[in-house]
Amino acid sequence: MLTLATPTGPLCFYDDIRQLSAARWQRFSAKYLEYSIGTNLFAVDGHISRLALFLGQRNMTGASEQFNHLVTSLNHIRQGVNGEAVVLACLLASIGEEVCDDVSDSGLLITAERITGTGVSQHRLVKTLERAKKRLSGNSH
Amino acid sequence: MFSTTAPLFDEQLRQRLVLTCDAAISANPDQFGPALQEVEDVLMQMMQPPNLRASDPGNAFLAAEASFERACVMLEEKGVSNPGALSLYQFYGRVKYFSEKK
Repeated sequence: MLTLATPTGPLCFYDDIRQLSAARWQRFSAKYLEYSIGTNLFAVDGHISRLALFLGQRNMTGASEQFNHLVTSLNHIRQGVNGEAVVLACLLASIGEEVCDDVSDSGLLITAERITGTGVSQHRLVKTLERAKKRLSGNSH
Repeated sequence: MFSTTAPLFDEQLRQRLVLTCDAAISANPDQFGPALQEVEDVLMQMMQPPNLRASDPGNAFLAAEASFERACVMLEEKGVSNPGALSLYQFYGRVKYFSEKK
């Protein structure tokens, strides 16, 4: 388990393929892909740059997908969704003493809000996500 | 001329390389034009964004979900109960075993 100490108690994340269930891994992979488009203004900046590139190349398929990603990123920002927290919520085993096992779409959003509510910095969330993914992907197959 | 700190040195070296390439290309646009276009096409192809539209059946994560469900059904047919609850290690171990046994 990967433990992240926070002011309101430790967050324990699965980082071992012998502990993480296949269904949770599936949710993690899907959410990782879904939120890879980014949920902050840096991501929006990247989408606009790539959109301009695709339009300049007259690649309308690429431009259309990129525009879709731009709108999705903006929607996430408007709704206050933290992509890294949602993806990490798929791997969260417990918050303090409380077991976290709701990996439905709505359950993940609630868990993500609880993760950010612990006061953990975005930098630590990103580092934890990278570390967990590296450990799980490194020996998953 | 160059900084002694590593990241700044790398950045200055990169800028110098870009300027050298730019000067070489500007001097011979006909020679490098087709090759550059080819490189640009490949890079653009690599940048092609994935389809993540929720309403589209070709959606990248829906395809991954469907593939996982197919693997679960295959395992259930072989007598494995609730395969999704198995650890990732056990799940792929069983998928590999039954795939090799065919």
